[in-house]
Amino acid sequence: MAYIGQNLDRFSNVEKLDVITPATATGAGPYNLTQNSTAFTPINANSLVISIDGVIQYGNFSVNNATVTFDAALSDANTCDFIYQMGIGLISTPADDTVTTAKLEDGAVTTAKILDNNVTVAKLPTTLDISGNTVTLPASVSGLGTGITNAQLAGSITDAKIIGLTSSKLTGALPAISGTSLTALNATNLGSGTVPTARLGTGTADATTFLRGDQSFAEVGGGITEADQWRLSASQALTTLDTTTLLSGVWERNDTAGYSQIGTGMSESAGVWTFPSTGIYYIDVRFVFLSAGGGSEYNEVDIWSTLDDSSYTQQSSGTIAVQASSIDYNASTATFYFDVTDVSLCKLKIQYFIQGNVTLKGSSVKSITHVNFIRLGDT
Amino acid sequence: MAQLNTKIKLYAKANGVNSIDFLSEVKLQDDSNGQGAYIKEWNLDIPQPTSEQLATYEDEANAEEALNTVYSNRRSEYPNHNDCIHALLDGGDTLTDLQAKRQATKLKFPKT
Repeated sequence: MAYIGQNLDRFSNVEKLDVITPATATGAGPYNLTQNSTAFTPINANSLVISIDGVIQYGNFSVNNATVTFDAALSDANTCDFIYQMGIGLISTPADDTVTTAKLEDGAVTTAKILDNNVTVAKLPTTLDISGNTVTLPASVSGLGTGITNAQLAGSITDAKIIGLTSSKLTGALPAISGTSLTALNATNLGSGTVPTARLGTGTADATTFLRGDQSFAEVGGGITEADQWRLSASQALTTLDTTTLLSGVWERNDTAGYSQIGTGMSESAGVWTFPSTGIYYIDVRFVFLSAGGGSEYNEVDIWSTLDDSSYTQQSSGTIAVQASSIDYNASTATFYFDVTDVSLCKLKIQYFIQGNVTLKGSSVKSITHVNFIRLGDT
Repeated sequence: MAQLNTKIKLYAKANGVNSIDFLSEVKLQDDSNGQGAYIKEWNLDIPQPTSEQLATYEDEANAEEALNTVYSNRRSEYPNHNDCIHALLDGGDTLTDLQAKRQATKLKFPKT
């Protein structure tokens, strides 16, 4: 028989501890556990064999580190006979597949006891809540694939995390973004489409305007915007001699079929002509004189203008003579370029001066004595 | 009613001015507003006449204008310059006929 005749302290892994000294003052404990006067921490309470007053104590005490506390108080009268720790060396090597879960202490399997790369997915719970932990991924993670869904991404992905964004990810309706971000957009990158006229320049953009180099819309220069013709509606016998005389109340706008004015046209009241708009006008007055019989050596047609609607200045005149005859015609012309800067102040008068009785020829069906107004351009 | 220029001519002649340039020395204006002609500018050395002074020349001016009308009417019916030159060159009946036409015109438009 093995081990007969051997003292207990000779058993492998059986430790003999120093006896404690029960005391009324200490009661149930704790009592320090020592071996050779050195603190001794047993494996657990079950590994200790303590004899008090000849009675083996079991299951009625607990250990905490290097102390033991009894369930009942001890007294000075009690005597501790011995204390042994029954080491693991007393346990025989168990047979394969005989160590049950119950034999393992809770939490006894440490990380070191698990072989690397040997915890399979099947050993993990279906729902693994690691919200209380920090998951640190390596700088390069391969194999994630599409396993991480949008819902699993929280917060924002910063620009630094985006290394490439292909055009295929920008199809369809793009979100509204600020134009100030398109700082590198240049003309060569504009494909097709229409740039709104409001983005091209200031002013009114329509069929009558064009875009100038200073990025403003303006009317096309050089075009005729006003052209009008008036005529003496009937012949007038002129008998006021040696007197500059205003020709008033005898004008009509050409209304013969085929005639067409351009623009608003002129207006005449009491011999004073008013312009429809500012600008530089060419005025061409043509008088046709007919001798009244006795002739007239000096016949003048005059253009007078004012810049203040009050004081008139003679700007142009044309003179001609008609001989003593009943059929002697002659024509005289006066022209003027008038810079009309204000239509309410810049006015015009047409007057005549004769030295003998004459007839100023006119007609309501054709233009004989007449005046042309043509706006040449801006003032 | 006589014209203003006629009365001014008579006033000027009575004051030693025998001819007037109505384009510079005396400028008359008619604004065709029913008020008739008026003196716009007077540049003669003699004083500008008043309306009352000019009114004193009304009758004489009417007579002057009537005479001018006679002259004007005669000029309109006298043979023209070409006919006169031919008549003078041809003489004879041509000249006699022309002189007869001129005399007939004078009789048609007598001075009085």
